[in-house]
Amino acid sequence: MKIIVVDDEMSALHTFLTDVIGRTDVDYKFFKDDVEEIIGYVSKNSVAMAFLDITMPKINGLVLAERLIELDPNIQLVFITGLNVSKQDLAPTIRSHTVGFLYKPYDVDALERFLSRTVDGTACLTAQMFGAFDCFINDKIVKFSSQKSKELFALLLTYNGKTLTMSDAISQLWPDVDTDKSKPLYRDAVWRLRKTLNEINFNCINFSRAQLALDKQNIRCDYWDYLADPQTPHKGEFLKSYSWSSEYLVT
Amino acid sequence: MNKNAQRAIAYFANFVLLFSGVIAALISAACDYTPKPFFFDSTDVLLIIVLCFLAVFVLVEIVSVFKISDSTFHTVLTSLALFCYIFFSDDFVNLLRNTDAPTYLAQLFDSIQFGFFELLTLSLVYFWNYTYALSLKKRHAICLMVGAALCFAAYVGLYFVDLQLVGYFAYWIELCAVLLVQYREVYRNGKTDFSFFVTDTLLQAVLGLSLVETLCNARLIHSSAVGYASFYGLVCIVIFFLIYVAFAMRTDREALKASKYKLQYETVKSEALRAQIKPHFVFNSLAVIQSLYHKSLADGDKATNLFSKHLRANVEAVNTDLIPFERELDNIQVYIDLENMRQEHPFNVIFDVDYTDFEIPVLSLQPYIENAIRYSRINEKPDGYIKISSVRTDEDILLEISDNGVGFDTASISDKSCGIRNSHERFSMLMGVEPQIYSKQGEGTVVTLHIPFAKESQ
Repeated sequence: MKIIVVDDEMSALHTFLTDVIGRTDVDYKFFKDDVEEIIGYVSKNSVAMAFLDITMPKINGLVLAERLIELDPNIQLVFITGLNVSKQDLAPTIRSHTVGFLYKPYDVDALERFLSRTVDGTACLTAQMFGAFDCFINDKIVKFSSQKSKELFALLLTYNGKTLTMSDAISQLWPDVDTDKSKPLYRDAVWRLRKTLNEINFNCINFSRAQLALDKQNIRCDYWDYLADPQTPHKGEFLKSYSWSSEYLVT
Repeated sequence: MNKNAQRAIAYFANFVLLFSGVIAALISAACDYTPKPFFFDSTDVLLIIVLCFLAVFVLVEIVSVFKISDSTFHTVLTSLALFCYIFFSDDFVNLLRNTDAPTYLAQLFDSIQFGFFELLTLSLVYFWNYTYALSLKKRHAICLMVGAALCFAAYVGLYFVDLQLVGYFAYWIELCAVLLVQYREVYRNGKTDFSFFVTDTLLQAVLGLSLVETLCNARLIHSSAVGYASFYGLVCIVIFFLIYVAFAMRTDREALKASKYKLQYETVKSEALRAQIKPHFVFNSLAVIQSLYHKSLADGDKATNLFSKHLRANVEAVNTDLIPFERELDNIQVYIDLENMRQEHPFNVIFDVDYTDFEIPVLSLQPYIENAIRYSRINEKPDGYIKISSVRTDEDILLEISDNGVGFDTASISDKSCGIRNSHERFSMLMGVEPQIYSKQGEGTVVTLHIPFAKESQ
């Protein structure tokens, strides 16, 4: 797979893409803002994704983007910028090709997410419920911003697509806390879970007032495999660190 | 005086006016009827002048709609127009003839005929209502304007033919519609203002006059009733003038205040931005980032990203007044993560967020969080927390920032920290919200904000 990076200065992005992420299945090509050279390369090769700096001396990244889209209607774009730009600021034709924005200084995780979207197509979340509970998005571990938001997600996965109400969640996650204290904690966990999923760009939960529902699409979960066929081999105890887990394995 | 009392008085006055007009008309029903002379021969020049004036007024009206303080000018124009309407109407002329007033006065007033002035008055009232209509829902406003235009056309078109009565009735219906829409809006929003009172009083006056006029032309009552109606008009003018004085004084004061406010707000905002980029915070953060890179590259990267997010939020704030609450929470999260980077015991922040669909001044909550971090010592106790709650209630959005830290004596904070004072000022200037701080030593601190709903989400 081929990826081009267009930046007028020798950027740190070079280091990140080649050394830090170091995916062997990706072929990077770096360009200064020499339009002819870029156009020549893109017309001869099938380029999956282009990282474009917006402000460059010879050509504006947005103008370049339009020409690249003309050459290759399947190209995906990531704009490199220092300041805050959002998709609303883009022309509709460019917007539909834009995967996201890469802000300086670079966030390696964001960079990796952009790449994995091209390499693997749609993102897939893998949940490992036996042994220590963890989630992976395209083989990269998901960092939850709090223990309770992680536990809440585990509970949602355990619910297997059923709607989880606030009172159910509270009675399982905060069994010993007063209601007036546990509700804020529940809302905090929901908020953080939402932020985490937003960050990895995997919005699989339908958040509505006082209830949550999981969209099972693109999620692989060893517990669901186990439910479908209890003979499926699995290692370790089911969600051993969560007190409520025991009642769910007896099915 | 509270709003409800104001409203009650205005309603009472309006109804008294309307009914006194009708009663005056009925009383005079017993008098002799003398047919109105038809006029419009020597007044062509006057017509042109009046129409020119009208055009200028209309232009001024449209321009002033886009300015803040347009109300003073309206009141002057409308009062003038109403005066003209009353004094040059042939009702008044009749009245002068029937009294001991000098005859030349009656002749003078008679020579300036009233039809144009009526046109002038009513058009001004309509255009005033156009201003008012801008505050209404679009659909209502369009209905009003279309109605007004149709009535205008009917009135002008039918003025010189026998069917002029239809034109009068069209007026009457339109005015009733305007009043109904106004009352409905006022009842629904519980919103009262002087411009409503003034417009309403005027409309009532014109409504009463044209009612009597209509009945008179239909020969249902005697023409001398129109004389009484003129008195009714005079009463309206007096009341209108009283309201006008109060109103003009108020708008002048407000216009002055608004211009001062704007200047003040700019100062406050630039202060806020200056206060936000704290050198010691910047260099401390950089030092932490530096040390993290020596421990682990990944941690260093993470910290660098946090810090750049923080800086970006600050840079963005230069061109922003209000931002979505959710974005402000993100900024707070970044700030707390940065703070926690260098704390041995991290601060626990609970995002008790139930409702996020509103806006607040940019970087306005951060000072409270900063204060909690600096003084509450919540990271020294095991169950210490800072909690940010947002709940939608029936009346408003309740936003609360609380901690269970050491608290302080509220009496001792007469000179609040610069950041908090600044946030207070921006909240009150941009949203009319007064943050309340309650604190008790040993129990913690609560900052409460009652955010009104934005207009469109009502």
